[in-house]
Amino acid sequence: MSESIVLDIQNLKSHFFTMKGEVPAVDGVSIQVPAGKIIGIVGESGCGKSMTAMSVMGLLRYPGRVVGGTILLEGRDITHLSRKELSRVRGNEISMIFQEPMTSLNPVYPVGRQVREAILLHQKMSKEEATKQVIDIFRAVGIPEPEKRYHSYPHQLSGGLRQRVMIGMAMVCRPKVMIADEPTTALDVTIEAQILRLMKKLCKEQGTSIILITHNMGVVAEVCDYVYVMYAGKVMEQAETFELFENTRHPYTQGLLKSIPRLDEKPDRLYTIEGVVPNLLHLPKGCSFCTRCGLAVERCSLEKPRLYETGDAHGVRCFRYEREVSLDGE
Amino acid sequence: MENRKVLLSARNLVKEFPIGGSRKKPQVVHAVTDVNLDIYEGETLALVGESGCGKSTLGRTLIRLLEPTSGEICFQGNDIVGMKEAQFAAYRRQMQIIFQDPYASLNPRMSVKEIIGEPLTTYGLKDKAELEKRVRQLMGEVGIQQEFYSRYPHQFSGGQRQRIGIARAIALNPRLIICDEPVSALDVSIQSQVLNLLKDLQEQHHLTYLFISHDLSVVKFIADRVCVMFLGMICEVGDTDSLYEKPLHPYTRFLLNAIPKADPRLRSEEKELLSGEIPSPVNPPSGCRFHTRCPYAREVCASQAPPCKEVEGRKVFCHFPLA
Repeated sequence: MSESIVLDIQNLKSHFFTMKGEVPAVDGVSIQVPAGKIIGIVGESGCGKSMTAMSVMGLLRYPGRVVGGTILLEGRDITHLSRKELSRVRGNEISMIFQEPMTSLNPVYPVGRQVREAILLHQKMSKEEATKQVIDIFRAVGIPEPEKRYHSYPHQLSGGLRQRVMIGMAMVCRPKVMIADEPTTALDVTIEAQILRLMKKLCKEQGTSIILITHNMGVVAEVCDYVYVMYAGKVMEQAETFELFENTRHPYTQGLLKSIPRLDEKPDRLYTIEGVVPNLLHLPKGCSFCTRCGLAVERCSLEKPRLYETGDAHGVRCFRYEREVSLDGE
Repeated sequence: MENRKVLLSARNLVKEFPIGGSRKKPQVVHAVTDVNLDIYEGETLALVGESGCGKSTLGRTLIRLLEPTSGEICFQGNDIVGMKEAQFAAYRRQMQIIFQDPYASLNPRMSVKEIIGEPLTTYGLKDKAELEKRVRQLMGEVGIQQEFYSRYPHQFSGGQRQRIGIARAIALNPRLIICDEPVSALDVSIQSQVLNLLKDLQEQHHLTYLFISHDLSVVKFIADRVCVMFLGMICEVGDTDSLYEKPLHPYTRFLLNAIPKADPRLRSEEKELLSGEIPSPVNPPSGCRFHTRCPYAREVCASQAPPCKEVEGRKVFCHFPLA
């Protein structure tokens, strides 16, 4: 990865301080986002993928807190910005799209006005000019009759259109990075395909990098350039998309891919990863996947594996690849 | 397939929901319009379609959780639509349902033993020792550990709750189970566990499933036959393998195209995608309901409802089925 890195997350740790104890929701995650690329973060619920995004956006609230690591946006440390400084970055240089477009739009304002607000907050521009720009971005994200839709309220739009409005809002200030947290999970497949294609197109045209958070391996395979697989707050495997799907190395990723029903074959039974995701309060002493791993040996339950580089920018957190170079700075 | 027994059949089934309007011009949602469907004994029939296409409504109407507006439903040859409740009870116990959301479908104030035992006591199992034995046996069958007998739903994960819901559904040895998106709320690794469980139970108890889902890869795994719906109407019914291999209805093809596949080599920028949104079921388009989104639509599609055509043993409702 020789491209310029726009967003560099280094060894990020976000913990939640609850009555029952300290929960390491994000536990030493390092992610590099090159310019104009789509980075995927994939994992099951509770693996910390959304919390990583919230930490980057400075949206973690009590009892959660970033306890370690740095977040660099084009070389500038944005980990500990004040609220005022943060609000200049958020929505302008980094923006975010959420899963449920209905709850992230304000129901009592027309959608056009909400998108215009984002422009007026961050750029010196008259209201008329801003309105024109909103209509332009609506057209760019494929909203039919943008002049009319400007005055529509969220409830008058379908789920797909609402998500297009959200993407328009996120893109209107031409941010360097857009974080999309499960942007298509609430949508139907035909609409999902449209939205994914749109995001890919915008990313290419405007040079915006996208962090796509999803639980769907299909979505990852469809649009991402580079993938991070997370489990229990840690990155388990990272590689370029083609490399990851062709040379899957970590037992967890392998299990995940094998347990998805496929269109091109019909087995009698599906492969399953036995057991459930461990409670983050009582993680195993060693590898957090060792209790469910078919290949675990005694050492796995005693020692924590590091992220080992296995060539081709492919990292695996598993002792089976230990002879390779460690990527962690630990 | 021809000589298999029909377990449940629907004829000209219609379900509409009133949503106001004036007295002269009442408005209704046409959730299910003129559906004819046969479910054979022992099979898994999948009902697929996008949200709002009426698949859940159809599933619930078939077992009379919703009363149909008009039409006929025959269960083992007996019309169950007009039946009185007392008479219907004998049939109702043979039709069960598993719901999508394992958080909303279990009463938080009831323990596992009460949830699974409730259908048994409703249908007359009074003896306490007998009841406990049966509940424990059901728990074993779905893979819930015995020591959780007196626990409450909030103490379980999503996958385990869905197992409890399944135990409740099979408690009365039903013939037919409507599975309404049983795995869509679950994580991938849990989803495969539950799908395998459903398949095992089907084999052991000779169950018939109506499997409602929007996930075509899950359907491919579990279903023998597939019925594709669009806006309250059936587009295509046929064997899973042939339908996936060679879709006859344009909508089926677009649905299959749109699924993100877990293989980056299958990426394609040129892949044909469906444009536009799903029309409103309050004012559905005339003729073929899909014609506003269909790239192959001609004039006749807008004026006449498509006839049912039989092509290679599959039924397709389209004026111009794909060759």
